Amino acid sequence: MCWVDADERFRQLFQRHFKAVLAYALRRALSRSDADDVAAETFAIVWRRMDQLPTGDAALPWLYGVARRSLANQRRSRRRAEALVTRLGGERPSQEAEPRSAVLDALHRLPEADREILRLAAWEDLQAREIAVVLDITPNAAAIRLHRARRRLKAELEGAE
Amino acid sequence: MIDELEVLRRANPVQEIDITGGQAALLWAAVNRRRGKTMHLQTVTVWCRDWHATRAFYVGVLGLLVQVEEDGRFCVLDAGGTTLCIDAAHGKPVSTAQLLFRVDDLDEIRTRAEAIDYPVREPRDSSDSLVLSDPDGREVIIQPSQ
Repeated sequence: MCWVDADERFRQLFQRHFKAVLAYALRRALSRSDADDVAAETFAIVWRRMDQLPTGDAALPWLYGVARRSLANQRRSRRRAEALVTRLGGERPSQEAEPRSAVLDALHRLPEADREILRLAAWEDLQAREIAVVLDITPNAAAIRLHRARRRLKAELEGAE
Repeated sequence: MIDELEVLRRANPVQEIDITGGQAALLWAAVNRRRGKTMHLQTVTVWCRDWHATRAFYVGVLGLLVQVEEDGRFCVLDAGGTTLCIDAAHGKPVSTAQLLFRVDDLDEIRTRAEAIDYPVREPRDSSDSLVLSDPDGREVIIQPSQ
């Protein structure tokens, strides 16, 4: 692949998917600026790994997978920074309260693995085979995990009624 | 019978993103900085009807520093790496544009605007930003740098 092709392919990829990636980050990050950082970092990583980019419809789930890892890195960095501030005797920056509803409360009572698979299915509207790409697991494992996570969310929702 | 996924779908905190061209440009620039590809925009010139009022807005309210100017004709402002040039239109059509600035201290601009009763609008989304219009009606969005 020549440089110009890669550059143009990257531009088209950004054009096609930046809103979806930004929305993914906005749904999970603590602030707009954190989401912007995650989206920018995601595309920067994708640029370095263009040779691994799947073609066609598989590209977006793959991008979500990269965004997911970027978000995890950002959270780790934030926790390290907060721990340092605490060790130095400063005040921990306050976390923004997450908007809550009965549904989101039920979601937050589930383990993180369940939450993410449910968010991917409901908010990113992904099928099990696409979720498998994001989470880097087999489609079969994704289908089973989604089924179980749905069952647990349903139980939480019914319990809350 | 609960369809738990549908219930969750309706609770989606970000249904659609209302993203401006300016925000898309900022994201594209941030991506390009990270991949080491930059193209620097040197100068933006806006043509204005009322030079003094426009200068007062960009210098007095936004706080941009004047680099060079000729009273009533033009002024060249430091817009953080890019030069914003305010030129008197002198009968030429004024430029339409939307300008988006990132600033360290949003409240400083809010305070200066409020001190002279310069109208500040709330952003369309719930973001922490200010929306103003310059004297020719160009939308100026101010967002915090972090």
